[in-house]
Amino acid sequence: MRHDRDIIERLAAADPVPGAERLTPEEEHDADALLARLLAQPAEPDAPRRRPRHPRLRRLTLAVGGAAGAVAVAITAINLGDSDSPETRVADQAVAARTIAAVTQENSVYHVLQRKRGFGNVEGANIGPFLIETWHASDGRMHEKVFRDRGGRRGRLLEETAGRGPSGRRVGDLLRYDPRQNTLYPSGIAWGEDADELPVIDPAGNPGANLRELEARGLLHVAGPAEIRGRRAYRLESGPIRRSGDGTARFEYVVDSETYLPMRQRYSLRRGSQILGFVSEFLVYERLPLDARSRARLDLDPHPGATCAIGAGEARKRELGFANPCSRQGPG
Amino acid sequence: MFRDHYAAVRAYALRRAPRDVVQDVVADTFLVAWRRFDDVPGDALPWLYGVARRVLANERRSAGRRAALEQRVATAAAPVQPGDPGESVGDAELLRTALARLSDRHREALTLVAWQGLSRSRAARAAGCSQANFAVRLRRARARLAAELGALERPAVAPKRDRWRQADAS
Repeated sequence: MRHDRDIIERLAAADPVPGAERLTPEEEHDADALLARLLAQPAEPDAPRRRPRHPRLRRLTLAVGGAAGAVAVAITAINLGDSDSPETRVADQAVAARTIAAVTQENSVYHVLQRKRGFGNVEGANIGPFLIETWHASDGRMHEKVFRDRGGRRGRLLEETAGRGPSGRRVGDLLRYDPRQNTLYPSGIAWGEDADELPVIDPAGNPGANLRELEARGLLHVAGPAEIRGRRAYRLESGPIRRSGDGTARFEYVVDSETYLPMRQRYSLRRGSQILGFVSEFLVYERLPLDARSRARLDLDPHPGATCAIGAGEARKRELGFANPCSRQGPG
Repeated sequence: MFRDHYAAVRAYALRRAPRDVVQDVVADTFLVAWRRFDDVPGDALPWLYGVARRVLANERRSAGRRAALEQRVATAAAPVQPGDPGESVGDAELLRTALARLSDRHREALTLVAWQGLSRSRAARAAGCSQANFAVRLRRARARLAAELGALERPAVAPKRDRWRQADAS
């Protein structure tokens, strides 16, 4: 009789652990414990992904991979996890730590190309897009060039700024070149009075500072997966942030799932019915070793024949990080 | 992905390994999933089973572990079935004994379908082969299992001594 039954059915009935897919509360706890144990490992900054030949080294690599795995497991758990669960909070912290680590590496020059446009329903909000190319060093030096976006390619140069960037988002020791006037001006960047609260990734400033602040205030949450230009990414959200006045700001930050470098950011400020914001697509966000070649990218480009505005020659080399062309006879 | 598939991957490991290594297998499986996150397909479960299979194979290769592990899998507790408990338990033991005599590939093909409940196409992905290959493998595995079962279920030939007794009685 038993021979007549399908052998697969008989085998299914011989399952040594029937119903193993149903977890008891204790097993659920084991799952949470496993997740928490994985997440408890510190998030490591990106390590070179060479395959070690020695078995012991391979095991070490697996251990390091484990730390990264913890982060991934955390992220993938977000969709179904309770947003207030301890595991999710740990996941937020792990991802935030890794994200901050990715943009704040020492002895580095970050090269960034972003397409940025403004949006909103107030006058002047819908500007751009512009292509903004930036080099920024961990010692605070920066060099930024703003171009018109010509179908995704760099169009006419609109502005160029270089010098030692303001870490506190105040005026720094900078020189700004205005190609329309063919003139160099001192201290090109100034920020609004509450700009230091603005939780945006400024590749020319200190992109990790605002993230650290958001993370410390518990405002940086992993909102789920995303895909940008065919690459897997994770979306981090600040949630609503009360701003000075009656405004509410929101900040969204998408990072590459592998490098944790920024891929997109979106900032919006709502005040009553008024909306104002911007979106940046990071077309390039790469970390270069700090050496003579990358350091040279931090200098202002030469602009022979440019005029120096009053005060442009005051900043010294040690403040700017490069020889001030206006401190001599002229910029040429 | 972790929440979606943790229980299934754990169950997969539980059916093939002793409990004390199950958590390690599950953890290693998800770690591999992270390290190769870009390779994880949309339908992640068969892929995860494939990873778990290789993790288990590595575990089995560990010196001194193989014998104990296989022994414990072979003697895993039989399920209690409704109906005639005695017959079900006996049948389950018979099947698992027959299953243990098969090659790893044949055993995996059968259990992916019977225990993990995968469709043929998903089971093929978990086994790391084409659907056509898997169909052939499964057909051969069924035949092999039936043959092993037949051998186990065949009534044992009476010992010569009994035959002598029967002859004496007659």
